Parts: sequence; structure tokens; C-alpha cells
Amino acid sequence: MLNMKNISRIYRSDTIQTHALRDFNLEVKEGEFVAVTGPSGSGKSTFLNVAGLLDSFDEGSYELDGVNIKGLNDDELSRLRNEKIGFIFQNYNLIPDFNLFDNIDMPLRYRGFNAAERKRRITHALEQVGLASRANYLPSQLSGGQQQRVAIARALAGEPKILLADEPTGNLDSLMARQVMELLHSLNEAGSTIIMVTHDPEQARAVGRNVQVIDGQITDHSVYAPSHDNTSIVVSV
Amino acid sequence: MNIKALLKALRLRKFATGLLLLQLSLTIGLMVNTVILTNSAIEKLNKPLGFDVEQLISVDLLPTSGAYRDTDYYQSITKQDIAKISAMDGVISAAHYNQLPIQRGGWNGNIRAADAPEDTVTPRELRYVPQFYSSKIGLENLGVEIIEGRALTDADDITTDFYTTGKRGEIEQNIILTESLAKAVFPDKSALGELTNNGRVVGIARDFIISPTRQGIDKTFGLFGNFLFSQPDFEQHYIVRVEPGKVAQVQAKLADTILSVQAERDILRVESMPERLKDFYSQDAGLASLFAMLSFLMIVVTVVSSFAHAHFHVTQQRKFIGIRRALGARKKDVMLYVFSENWLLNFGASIIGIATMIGLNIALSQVIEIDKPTVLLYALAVFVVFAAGSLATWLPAYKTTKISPVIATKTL
Amino acid sequence: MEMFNYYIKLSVRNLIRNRLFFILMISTLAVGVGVFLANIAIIKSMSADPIPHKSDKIFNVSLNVWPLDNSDAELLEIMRYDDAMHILKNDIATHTMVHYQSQVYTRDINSKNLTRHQAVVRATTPEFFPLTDAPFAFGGVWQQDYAKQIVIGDTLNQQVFGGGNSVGKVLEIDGKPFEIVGVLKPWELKPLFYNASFGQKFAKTDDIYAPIETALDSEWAIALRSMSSERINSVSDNRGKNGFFIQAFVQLENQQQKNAMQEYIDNYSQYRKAQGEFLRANDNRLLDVNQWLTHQKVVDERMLAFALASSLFLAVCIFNASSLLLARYHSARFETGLRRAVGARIKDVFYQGVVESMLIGLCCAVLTLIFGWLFLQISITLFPALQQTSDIDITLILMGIGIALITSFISMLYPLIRSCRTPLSTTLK
Repeated sequence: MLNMKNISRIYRSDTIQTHALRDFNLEVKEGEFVAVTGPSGSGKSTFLNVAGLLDSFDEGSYELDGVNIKGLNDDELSRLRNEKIGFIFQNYNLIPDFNLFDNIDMPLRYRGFNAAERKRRITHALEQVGLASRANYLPSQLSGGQQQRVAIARALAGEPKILLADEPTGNLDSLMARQVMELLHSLNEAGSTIIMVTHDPEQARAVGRNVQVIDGQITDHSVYAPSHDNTSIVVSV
Repeated sequence: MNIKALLKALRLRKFATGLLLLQLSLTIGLMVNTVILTNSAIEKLNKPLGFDVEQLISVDLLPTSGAYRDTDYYQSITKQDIAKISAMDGVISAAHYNQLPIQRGGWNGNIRAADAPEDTVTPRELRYVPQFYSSKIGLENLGVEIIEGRALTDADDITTDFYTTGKRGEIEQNIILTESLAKAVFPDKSALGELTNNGRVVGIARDFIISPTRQGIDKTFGLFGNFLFSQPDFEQHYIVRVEPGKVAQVQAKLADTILSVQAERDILRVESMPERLKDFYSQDAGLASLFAMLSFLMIVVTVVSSFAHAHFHVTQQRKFIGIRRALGARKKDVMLYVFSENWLLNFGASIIGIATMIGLNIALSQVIEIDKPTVLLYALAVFVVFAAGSLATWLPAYKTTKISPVIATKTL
Repeated sequence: MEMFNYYIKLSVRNLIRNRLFFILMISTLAVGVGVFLANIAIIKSMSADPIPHKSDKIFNVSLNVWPLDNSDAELLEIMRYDDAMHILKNDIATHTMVHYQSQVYTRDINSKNLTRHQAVVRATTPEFFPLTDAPFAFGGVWQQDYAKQIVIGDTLNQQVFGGGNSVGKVLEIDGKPFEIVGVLKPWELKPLFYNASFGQKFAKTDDIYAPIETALDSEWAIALRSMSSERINSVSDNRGKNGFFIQAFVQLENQQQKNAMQEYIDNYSQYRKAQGEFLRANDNRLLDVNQWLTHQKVVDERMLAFALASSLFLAVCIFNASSLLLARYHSARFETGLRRAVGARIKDVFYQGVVESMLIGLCCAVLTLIFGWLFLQISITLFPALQQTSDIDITLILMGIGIALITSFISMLYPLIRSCRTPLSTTLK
């Protein structure tokens, strides 16, 4: 599903070169739920940006759902983001003056679905996150947890191959966080591949597979005991 | 106040800052040139003309009937007109003129000393000297004094000879020249008693403005004779000299008074001399007004843009302003922070404004006459832009004081 | 198309959400374009080609016959009676006409009302009509040089006879009868090219067209210039004398004709020189209508000065709109980033921006037309002389809309490019 080999990402300023990712290798199989942990500045975010095709990389190879990313132009990358990836952000990133329906509608528009198809998907996605009755609400009328569920619905509506979640519960209190995590788990059980960046060890522990990023490299994948026996860990250093 | 930090912030928004600087500096440049144009239009209107403008009313008229082709008839009606007008309440005197001072074109001719050698080239300003023909009181009626020699008399009237067959060629008329003209024609001696190609000089009149559009000394050139030009195809002019304060009263009755003498006339215009002057400069005044309108609009645009930018600045920086407040900045510190960006931009614009002002002045001088900019005008324009900008920034700046320091602890 | 509708919807929502901002931005832009448009309207009609289908074939004839001694002086467009008669005799030009202007008071000779109407007279020759394409409604031109016959314009026909076919009716001028043989249709020439000199370029077409000999014999007034000391006793006394007052125009179809005509007038001034006249260095001149109008400085220089200022003002308004939009896009970059993250291509974002700028442009266009009309009225009030020149026609309206759309697009362009270029990974954190 996702295969990164020897990826490096270097940020250059006038005097300093920062290796945000260095010789980074990760393979994620279909149906996996991977938690990425690591201290601040370790390169977690860079990894997520590269994985999500928001940022480019300098060396190495990256294959997403059988497509080699290297050398693709912006249009092709946009297309891949739209079709294969669903984003879930820490701060939800909903458009405040769109109602829930229009927020979820947005990525579908770029896919070129007709109105009926969009409506079917939006309704279905809202049902999945339990907010079907609130399609006309504005984000500000919802709690943080509900907003994050809307964001998840937006990610789901495109039926992506992979969900990328960046600290999805970072802004939520524990009760709401638990609800969101339960939703993610149930999506995973239903077959979705999920990569989640988190700094909450408990959340990480609850997830099928763990990788830790330090100094732009995956250094450890067994900090937390895996909860699923069938997880195959293919991380090479 | 940290100017360096401010400059850095502006540098980060190079393009937007550049646009604003251009906009403000163009505004300054346009405003200065506008004020120059407006000033010169006003100046022209208020320049003393050297005759009794305030007390005079002018009438332009044309006969509409063929009967006026009879010279005697024409002259008798004109004399009746003048007599009837002179008898009106409030009228001091009235006279007919072949043309009026303050006009373009007109009845002009060259003038030189009669004994000048045939091959002398007449200087340009002496080739088109306005020739005025009126009655003996023509100059007095305008309020112009004779400073040397004598005024014209009944004996100087050439009308009868002019319209008597065979006599026209023998006329040697007596004329009065304005002082500057007399000096130009006879630079080395007194003109009094001298003979010109247009007659003998019997008097010299004080200078007054006759052709305001001329640039040189010929503004005040004029020649006066005693003659009633009696050609019905040409506009005839009367000037009525009125007691102070009675201009409007007389002006209202003039047309009827004239038509009561003989109705077959087209009274083209009855205007007080100040009105005539205003009409004469209406094109300049119009252009000045157009530019003034443009300046006003530019100030409006400056206000709008200053407002919008300050507003955006404040909206975007809400959180940082909150943090500043939380860290102990007073309300006025925060307000000053918002103002200082506007002031810094205005300062930059006022420097570039010097170039746009001069550039525009040069460009305009290619098409119209325009004076050079002055430091005072420049300072004035900078001040206006500065004041308008500050005024417009005030509301958004004031709003910052409403930002609660609590905002700093919230995540947006 | 569906995306287009979506973008329209988004833009409308955006405009309404930021209405204060957009009202300020659009109206400042519209004021700028409006002032510019009003100015264009004036200059456009001032510099219009009055007779486009043959403006390159009609030539003013200016002869080198004015006896002034300084060689750098402008060549005069007026000539003497004898010069004009010689021009008329040429058999080169398709049409030749000479004319001068006069003014009379006239009335219907059979009317009981004694009121006379002021009428501008064009004293001219029969080929005036085919040369200028003057449109006849009734009748035609006079047949004899000295006939007491005239052609009248529509305005005078309306004033005196209340319109209709007035051929055969008689006008009284100075107590003498003149028979009407032709009536023109309403006729507009802007600028009035055949009489562009002496500040009359935007005057209306004339009221009475009379044979030049008849006008002279009737002693109707003329504006005369003379440099000689000989005496001219009356208007009709100008035949054979040195009074300058007649203008001449010819219609020449091709270069050969033009060369022949040039030779004809060159020969003439050489002949006059041989007769002992003092000629200047300046040569004889044939200028076609547009060259002639340019030579006559048909566009008021004040308007050019104002055009300079108003285009700078337009620039100021565009700069203002652009920097405002830049600020707005800066604040909207989160939404743009989000759209990009969920799969919008750069061209999608750009397309959306273009749709928005077109919507802004349309709002701006509506306001522009209103402001433009308003400023035109103001200009006319301030410059009564413009009354004749400035009218808003369909091309001008289209121009206004076009300029508004283009300026909106220009204002939007850089901010849009900037917002498209924002790196994605930085905006969503």
C-alpha cells in the first residue's frame, strides 16, 4: 500500500542544512493501523507531509498504492491526494462558514462526481461518523469531538486507500478522544488502512503496529507491545 | 517602537508594500499638480485687470433685419440705444464698442511709426494689436485714465468720413495708445503727436489688461479711435458703467430697454464684466475642477486603502496583539503599533512622491501650461495624505484596544 | 460547467461574507475605471473619424499664398477668392469644393410672424454635397452659380417650417427672397472636418448652404484676414482682392490623382510668385481628413492632460485593489491550502480565482458604467464646450465592461499567483 525506501528530506536555509528525514524506510500493508510516535522535532510531521504528498522528498523512492511518486507533477499529485488519501488534522481544518455537507462536499467536487453521487457519499460518510442528522450545521455549532468526526467523514467520503491522521485527538478531552479513537478503530476493522501520528503512548499501544521516529529515522518499532498477533512488521533500518 | 521589526514585516510583504507605496506617492504627485492647476485658475480670475470690472455690464447684440444695412439707420438706432441706456436709473455712462477687452481673436492690426523704413520687420507683438473703436468716452467708460495728452473729442469722430464715398481713403484719424504700446512703437521718444500707420497719437492711456491670453508685454497693447463701426453682420457691443451696487438691477432691464428702441435685434448676451471674465476662464476653471475632483477621489481611495490595510493587519494579528497585551503592553502601545505601520508607509511614499510629483509635472507641461511645484505644496500634499491615512487607520487601531489579553491563552 | 457553477457559488458566498471589504475594493476600482471611461468617451468622440469610408480620399488644400515674411510661420488654410476659383477649375479631383462661413437672420417670407431665426450659412459650391456625403431628404443642389437658391439643413427646416418637404418655399434674408431647392436629412459630422479651423470643430452642421457667388453678392458677413494695405470696400469687393477667407477641399481617389493635384497647386503658387508675390518657404499642402484634424489639434489638450492624470488614477485604483486582494488571499491561504490538500490542482485554485475575479469584474462593470456616466455629466457641466462631443454609445459601454473585467483580472492576478504558490505543508498546521 505504502512503501518508502531510503527517503531523505533536507531543509536548507542560507547556512544550515536540516535532515528532517534521513534514510527513512517504511512499508505499510493494506488494512494496517500504524501509530507513529516520536519526540518533537523528530521528523514525524515531515514524514506525514511526504506521505500525504504535501511535501516533496530529496532522495529515495516512494510508492503509494502501486504508483511511483517520484517525478509526478503537481496535477498528478493532486489527483492522487484526492483519490487515495484522506487527511485528518489535529485542528480539524474545517471551513468555518461551510456547513457540514459543504465541507465534506469539497474534495468530491474535485473528483468530478455528479450531484447524486456526491450526495450519496456525503450522507453515507456522515452516517458513518454518526452525524447524519446535522448536515446543515456549521462547524462552530459542534463540539470539538464532533468537528473531528466531521473531518473524518470528509476523509472517508472519498473512499481513500489510506487515512493519514495527524494527532487526531490532540485538541480533544479524554472522553471525546476516546470516541474518535473508537471510530478510527472501527474503520480499521472495516478494512481502512490508517497511519496515525500521535504522542500519546496509550493510544499508540492500542494500535496494531508502532513505529518510532527519532532524528528523521525509524529507530524502533517495538517500544509498545503489538496488540494484534498477525501484524507483520516490515521495517528495515 | 521597533522600526527595524516593522521594516522587516513590510519587507516580507514586498509586493503589497510596493503597491501601497506607489499608490500613495502617485496620490501625492497628482495632488500637488492639481493644486497648482487650481491655484493658477483662481489666480487668473483674481488678477487685477486695471479697469473697473465690478461696475461694468457688457451687451452683445446683432441686428436681424435688412434695414440695418442702411448705415444711417444703423447709426441712429445705436445712438438712440446709448441715449436710452444712459438715462436708466443707476447708469453712469454707456458706450458702443467694436470689440471688448478680455477676448480671444478680435479686430487686430499691425502698428508702426509712419516714417519707419519700408523694409523694417514689425516685431511679432506689434502685428496683432487690438484696435478699439468707440465713442469719445470709450476709455473713460471703462474706467481707464488718460495719463498723457488728451482724451478723444467729437472732432476726432471719423464715422461720417468713413461712410462717405471717396473720403475713406483720406482719413487721418487721431488715436490713443496704451502706455506699453506707445513705448513699444516709439521706444526712444514720447509717442505723443507722432504719426503711426493707423493715425496720429493724441493721448496715452494707463495700461490695463486687454488680451489676457497673450504671454508677453502685448497683454496690455491697445489702440483706441473714435468711430462707430456700422456693419450689421458683426456683433455689436455696448458697455454700461453702473453705480456701485446697482449692477443686477440694471442688468435685468437692459435687454428690454434696447429692444424698446427697435425690436429687430438678437440680444446675444447681457453679462456683468465679472461674469464675462469667469466665462472667459471657464475652460481653465473646468480643468482645475476636474483635477480637484480627481484629487478628492484619490484621498477617498487613500482613506479606503489605509482603512482596509489597518483592518486586515489587526484581524490577522489578533492573537499576537493579545499576546502583547498579556505581556504588559498598554492599549496605547498597541494602537501606536498599528499607526506606526501606516506612518512608515506614508514616509516612504512621501519620498517617492517627490519623483512622481516632478515626473507628472513634466508630463503635464508637455500638453498644457503648468507652474512648477513648490516645497510648500508638496508639504501640504504629504500632510493631507498623512492625515487622511491616520484618520482612516484610527478605527481599526481603536479596535485593537478591545482585544482582550485572554485571547493569548486560547488556541484558535 | 458544474465546477463553474460551484465556483460561482463559492465566490458569491465569499463576496457576501466579506461584503465591506469587497464593496470598498470594487467601488474604488469602479471609480478609477469610471473616470477613465468618461475621459475615453470624450477623447474618443473628439478624435473620431467623421467620414470613415472616405477620410483618406478627402484632402484639405492649403496654399502657400499668405504674404507673410517669416518662413517658419504655419501655413494658412484660408485663401483668396481668386485662389479658390483657380482650385475650382482643376479637372483632376473627383470632387472639388470651396467654402466659407457666414451668419444671417432669416424667416419664412410668407409667415405672419416677424421673428427671425439665426442661421449659420455655408457659402460653397455644388460639389460640397457629394464630397461630404451630405444627405438630401428632398430636392437637390442649385444649378447656377449666381442663383438666389439655397439648400437648408434639417434643424432650420424644423424651426422655420416645422419640417417636411420645403422645396419651393422661400426664405427672407435681409429683405430679399431665397428659394429653397433642397432640404437635408438630419446630419451629424463629428468633428465637423470641413470647418475644423477657428474653434468650430465640434459645431453642428450648417443651417443654410448657398452658392458662394450669391453669398458674396448678398454681402453676408465674413471673417477676413488680410496683410495688404489695399482697401476692400465690401464683402463682394473681395473678388480679385487680397482678403483671405475661403477654405478648399478636394476628393482624390488615388496616389496619381494626388500627385497631379499637388503639381497643380505647386504650379499655381509658382505662377503667383512669378506675378511678383512674396511667398514663404513653406510648401503647398494636401492633408487628408485625419491628418487635417490632427493638424487642427482636434483633441483638446486639456483633455489629454486629464487623460494622463486619470490613467494614473486608474493605476492607483488597480494598485489599491491589488494590494487589498493580496491581503485577502493571504488571510484565505488556509482554505486554499486545505483545498490543495484534498486534491485540488493548482489550475483548479487558479480557475476558481479567475471565476471570482470575473464576478468582481462584473460588479465593477455595473458600477463603472454608473460612475462613468456620472463623471461624463460632471465633465460636461464643467466644460460646456464638450456638450457636442461626448456621447455614450454601445462600443463605449462594451469598452467599459471590458476595461472593468480586465482591471479586475489584473488586480487579482498577482495575489492569485501568490496564493497558488504557497507551499502546502506550511498552511495546514
